[in-house]
Amino acid sequence: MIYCLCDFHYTVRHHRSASSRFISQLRSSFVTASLSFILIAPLGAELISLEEMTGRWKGRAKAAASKRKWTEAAELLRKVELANEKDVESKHLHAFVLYQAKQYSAAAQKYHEVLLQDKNSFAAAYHLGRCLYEMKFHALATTAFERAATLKLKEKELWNPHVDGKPLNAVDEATAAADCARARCLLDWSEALGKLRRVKFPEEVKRHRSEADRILESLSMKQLPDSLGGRVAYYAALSAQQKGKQGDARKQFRLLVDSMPEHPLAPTASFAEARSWNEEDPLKALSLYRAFMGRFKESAIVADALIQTGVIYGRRKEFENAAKTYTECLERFPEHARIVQVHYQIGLSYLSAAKEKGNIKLYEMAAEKLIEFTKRDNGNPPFLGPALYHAGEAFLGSGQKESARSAFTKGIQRWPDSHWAKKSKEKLNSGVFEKPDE
Amino acid sequence: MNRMLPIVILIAGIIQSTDRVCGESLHSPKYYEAYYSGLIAMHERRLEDAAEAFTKAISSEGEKERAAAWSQNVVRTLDAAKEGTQIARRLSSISQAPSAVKLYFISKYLNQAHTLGPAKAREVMDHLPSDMKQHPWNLPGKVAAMVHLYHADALSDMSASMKPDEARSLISEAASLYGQVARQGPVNLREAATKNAAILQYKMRDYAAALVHYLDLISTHPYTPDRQLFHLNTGKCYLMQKNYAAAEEAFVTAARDFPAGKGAVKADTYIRYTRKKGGL
Repeated sequence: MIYCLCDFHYTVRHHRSASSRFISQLRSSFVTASLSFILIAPLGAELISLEEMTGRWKGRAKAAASKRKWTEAAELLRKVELANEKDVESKHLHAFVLYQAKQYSAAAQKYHEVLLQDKNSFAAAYHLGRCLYEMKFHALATTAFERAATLKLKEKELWNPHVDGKPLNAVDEATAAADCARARCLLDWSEALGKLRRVKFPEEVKRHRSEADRILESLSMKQLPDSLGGRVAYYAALSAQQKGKQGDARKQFRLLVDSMPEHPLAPTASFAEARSWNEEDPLKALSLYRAFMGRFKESAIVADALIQTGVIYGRRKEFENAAKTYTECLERFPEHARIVQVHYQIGLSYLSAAKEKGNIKLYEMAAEKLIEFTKRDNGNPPFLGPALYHAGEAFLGSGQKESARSAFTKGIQRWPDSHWAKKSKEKLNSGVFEKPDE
Repeated sequence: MNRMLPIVILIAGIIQSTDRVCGESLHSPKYYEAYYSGLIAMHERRLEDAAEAFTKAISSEGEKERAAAWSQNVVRTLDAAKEGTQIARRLSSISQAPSAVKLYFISKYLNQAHTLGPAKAREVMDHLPSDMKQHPWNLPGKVAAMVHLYHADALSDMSASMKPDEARSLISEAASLYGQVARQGPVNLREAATKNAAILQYKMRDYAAALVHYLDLISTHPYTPDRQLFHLNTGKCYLMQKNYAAAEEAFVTAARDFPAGKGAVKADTYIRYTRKKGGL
């Protein structure tokens, strides 16, 4: 400010002619005004428009999303939407964030809103399909993917190489991606329909499968990038498997794993190949699971492979191996969706091994593992009733009658009318236990 | 005069930087943050958080009146909720207050009574002056809708502990209130209100009314996770009306379009039953 005033006096003193005086005064006025912003601004609070604020929120939301902080990003985007309902870009980003946060219903609603504002949005239609697919709304998802592919094709018809910078094959790839997703959806849909017990929908199953096959066949003729080509190959193999053509499916799974080992679906294909042998040749399945676990050590499906291995060991009555496999799974993947069952199976497998061999140490191990299981989830895990009964059995086998009585009694007290309580009562009244003093 | 020019521009610059640019209001970022956080908290019925946020907004550079108006409403409703069982007396003493204020009190108290349980809700309802039990739609949309929802929730809870005959009038009133919110309330409250209205109307054996609500839910909330359930319930309404063909169609949709959903097994059973009943 002082500098400006000095500058102003200097100007007045040295420039005598009227015109030059006016110009110089104007100049100094601008300097003064601009400097006043610089000097005064820090003294007061920063003031901005709502538009600028929403821009900042959007920027922060994008930064949060890039760091996978979905809750923070969603909160910021809600503010943006409250401030400006018509902002399609923020709605799209919000939908993406909700999808990543696995809030599929809310994300679908958001994509739907985007489509209401921009009915030609391929991305919104495609992602709406993905949300619906995750919600297992197969019929709606299929329609959404179909709409996405149609929108892209329409765009292709209108495509003008002189105006649009995008290469034509990018449009084709997007259509292929939507078609591929639709094929996957149709396959899942037909599989789910096939699992319905009483009422059957043979016509629908047949139609969905043939439609999926038609799409996959037409896609396999196209020159596609590896990522998409791998997906097409995987779904084609799944389709063959659904139709009972196990040989073809296995060949296609193997081909995918060997030709594209880096593809995201390669571990799934390798696992699917191993699983296809579960019933037919369990030993071969075991060796394939081992090969899978050696090759794709970092894959999340390793947990499933360990579970399948445990199941096969159990069926083959190799209970100790089963228990060890389940233990490995529990230690390596404590957050797995089926980890409670796995934990329960450890004790159960040791108990089966103990019963088979009559080994006291194995009984002790089974009791220890089953009691450990009953303490998980704050002492209230699923299968607690059977776990207490089996723990009682294990204690009984190892000669620890008091602990056995305690386990049986606990189960009876908690679920007096259950099947396991009935069995526990039978054990308690079997004469093994001395009657407590009257 | 010429010497004054830079000073005039300086003052103009200062005014411009602190007030408005091209007619657009300028506020501090803290104000925006607090104000919009308050709105979101209101939307989610987190009233303590909303009050705190609006207080922050008032103390920041911005449109204080707007934040103050919201803050006043929130604080007032919070106070009312904290009053607990005394609120009925207070309601009597403020009978001259504007109806919106009274309804805020009622709504919040009903909300609290709702959390306290049906017996308490009944006690409150007994204490309410009769004119306050009327909830006209002359209030701001969201407030009125929330009043109706709270009231309906309380009535519905009260009815749960009664014998069917006694509960009928309460259920009917609750269903009508839910129905009003479903038709006229803000979008975010409509789904829950419609769903509750449909459930209560089904309970009252008003299958035609319940059916209208379920069909409405299917068409207006296509991506709700309960969609399969809505198809199932639509089928049940048709079944009760002995419209077997329409019932079968609804059950088939629930099973065929959502075979992986939890209700697929139920739909499966209903299809067989409907076919048997309808002689199809």
